[in-house]
Amino acid sequence: MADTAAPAAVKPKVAFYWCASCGGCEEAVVDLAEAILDVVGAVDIAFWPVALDFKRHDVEAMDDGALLASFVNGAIRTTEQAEMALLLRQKSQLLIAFGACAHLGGIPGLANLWDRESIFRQVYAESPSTVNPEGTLPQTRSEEDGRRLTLPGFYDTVRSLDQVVPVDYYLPGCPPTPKIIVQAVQTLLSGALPPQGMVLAPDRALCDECPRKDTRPEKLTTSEFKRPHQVLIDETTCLLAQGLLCMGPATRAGCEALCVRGNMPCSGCFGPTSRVRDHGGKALSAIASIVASNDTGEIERILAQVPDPIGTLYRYSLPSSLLRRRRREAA
Amino acid sequence: MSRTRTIKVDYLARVEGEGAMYVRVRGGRVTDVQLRIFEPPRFFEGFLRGRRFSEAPDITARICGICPVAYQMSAVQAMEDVCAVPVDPQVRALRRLLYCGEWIESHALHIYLLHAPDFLGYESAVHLAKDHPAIVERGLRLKKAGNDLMTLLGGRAVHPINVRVGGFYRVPTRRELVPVTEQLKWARDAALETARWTGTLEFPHYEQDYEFVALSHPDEYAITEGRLVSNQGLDIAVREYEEHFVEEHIPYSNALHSSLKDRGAYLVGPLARYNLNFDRLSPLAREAARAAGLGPTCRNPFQSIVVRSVEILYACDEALRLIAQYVPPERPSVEVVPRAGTGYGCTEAPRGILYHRYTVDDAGFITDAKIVPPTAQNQKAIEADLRAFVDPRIDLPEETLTWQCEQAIRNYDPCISCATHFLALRVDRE
Repeated sequence: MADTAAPAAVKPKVAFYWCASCGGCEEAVVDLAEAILDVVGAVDIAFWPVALDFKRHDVEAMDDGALLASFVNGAIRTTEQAEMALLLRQKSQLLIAFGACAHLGGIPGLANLWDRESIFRQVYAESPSTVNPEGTLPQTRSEEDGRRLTLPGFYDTVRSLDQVVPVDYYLPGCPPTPKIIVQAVQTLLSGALPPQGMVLAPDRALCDECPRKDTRPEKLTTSEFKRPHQVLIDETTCLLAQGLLCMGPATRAGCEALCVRGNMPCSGCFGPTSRVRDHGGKALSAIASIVASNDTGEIERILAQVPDPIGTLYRYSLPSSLLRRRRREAA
Repeated sequence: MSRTRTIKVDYLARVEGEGAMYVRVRGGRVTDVQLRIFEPPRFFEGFLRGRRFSEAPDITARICGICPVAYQMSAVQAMEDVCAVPVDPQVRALRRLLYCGEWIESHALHIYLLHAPDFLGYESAVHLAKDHPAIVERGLRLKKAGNDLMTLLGGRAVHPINVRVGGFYRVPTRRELVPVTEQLKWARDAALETARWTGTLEFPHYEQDYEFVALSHPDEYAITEGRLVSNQGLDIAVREYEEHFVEEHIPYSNALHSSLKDRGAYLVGPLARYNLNFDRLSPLAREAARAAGLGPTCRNPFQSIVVRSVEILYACDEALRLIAQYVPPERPSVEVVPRAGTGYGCTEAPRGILYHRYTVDDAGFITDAKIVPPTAQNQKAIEADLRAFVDPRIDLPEETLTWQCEQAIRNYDPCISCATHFLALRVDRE
């Protein structure tokens, strides 16, 4: 179907890169399956370390803005990731934060509940079965027979991509769903660019597209928060109406309520809508509003049933929250 | 006359993650090999402290987007061990079925998109697809069969959402499993063809006397449970793991290096499973292995691509058997009451054994977590392999040597996102 008479149009160059992430976002791209071959046909993938043998110096050699778009997933935890984010920002017309970690900090961002030193000690020295009598910790520089070896340094605080470089668009989700990826790629290739800074998913709450929407009572109240492992969950009724903590009211739509369809409460990976600054704060206010009591003691008793509030309400968004991290104790 | 040459490749591409490899050559001999790993497992062990026991499967899945089921399975097993929860046999069968999906998709990804280009002389699967679109399309479709099975049982293929301590959030009806059956039959044929095709690839002559470590189960090719055994006499329960294995921290790497106490390096993954459990593969899988030129033992890590093909075939066969025998459990999960204690879990991730241990307090909060992913366990074996592999090939042109070294590392399907990130290969000759 290619028009052989016309001079071959120069295909737009794109890059994929990962920082502190799990590979699931890369996997989500590969899982476009047949569609991935179409995407590969429409663009020139100039950098994608997980799949192609291009190297960092290939990117460094590019002109500024040579890449139409870079899709970066993962949070920023090391100096090396920050350098790559800056490099790709410089070489790209559009920088897209791909997935929950780049968008909000993601699950690796829960490390902000601790500081670097205590995590180092726990992981490299104190955990049982780890043999480390001298307390060796990772070194950014080490000498081996006169040869200097280097490793990237770790920051104390995990950051989202836009806390390091300006970001043009965001693709939410852990990982983003095939549908929103394909829509985003089509939008970017069409040239009709949406307003800068947009999250490329519907700007409304997940409850709006939930298959159980009609079972949600008009006045939702609960006098108890149940834990999913203690109850048999009904497969058709609104999870909040069953007293289960579902992040749906505070979370952006676009996943088509994947978790709820699997009978599991939403855990919030798409982040908040554009009207909300702090995802966990919004979730807390949504929860507080359904507590069926006006008695302070009773309200406290009910809210105390929410275990690990930070890990639950800020599961994907701690680095991008107003507080960003747990306050360090004064020494 | 002495001369120093350095080959530097700043990333080892086509592994799921990145790291660095340094090879030192002096006087025509390899004197030092170091696998450096830049990005550790994002310190999950650190921030799991304080989370609820019930959240471990979902949080640890985010260590690896390629093998999330492995993380979920080792985590639920450990938590069910803490809480002494009996698992319904049909729930167990469904978990095994979900795991089959992950083996299929993960192995198909590695064989077709990451490893095969090495053998066929292509830079990547994208380049391979230009000349051999049918091969890459078969790989993608095979991967999709695994993904679809995971999606059916787990809601989605990356980070399935259905697994919970005590069972599942919801279980499928028998009827829901029908559509995937046809697809799995196609996949079984495609896996047969994959085994035949990978058997025709050219393998360097290279064998090592590894200590293989894998789970072993009397009645089945172990995936979700078994005893930890080796070809050199190890035979222990999972909870005895820490009496026999240690992890050391080395300043040049951010990932811990595992070894067997007093014995050193060992190898986990498809090759280990195949060698230890060959007789528990399905007859079809054993037959395909023989037809592809493998005996019941295989010590050439380059042939792991064939073994992965055989394991895909087995996973398709096993999935079809599990579906045929499936009767939905009476309830998707049982009630779990947290209690203080320590629990252990170990399952066969696509890349090898994945060990979890958690200590939980009486309110159900995690106070301590230990996770040992397969790539951390293979690091020493990878270093030993590079040393033995490079020695007789020291005079090869650097580009060829570098390529072959990268290929030797890719034999392990190193999921450096589990153990790490970032690999530079550096051969320093003098």
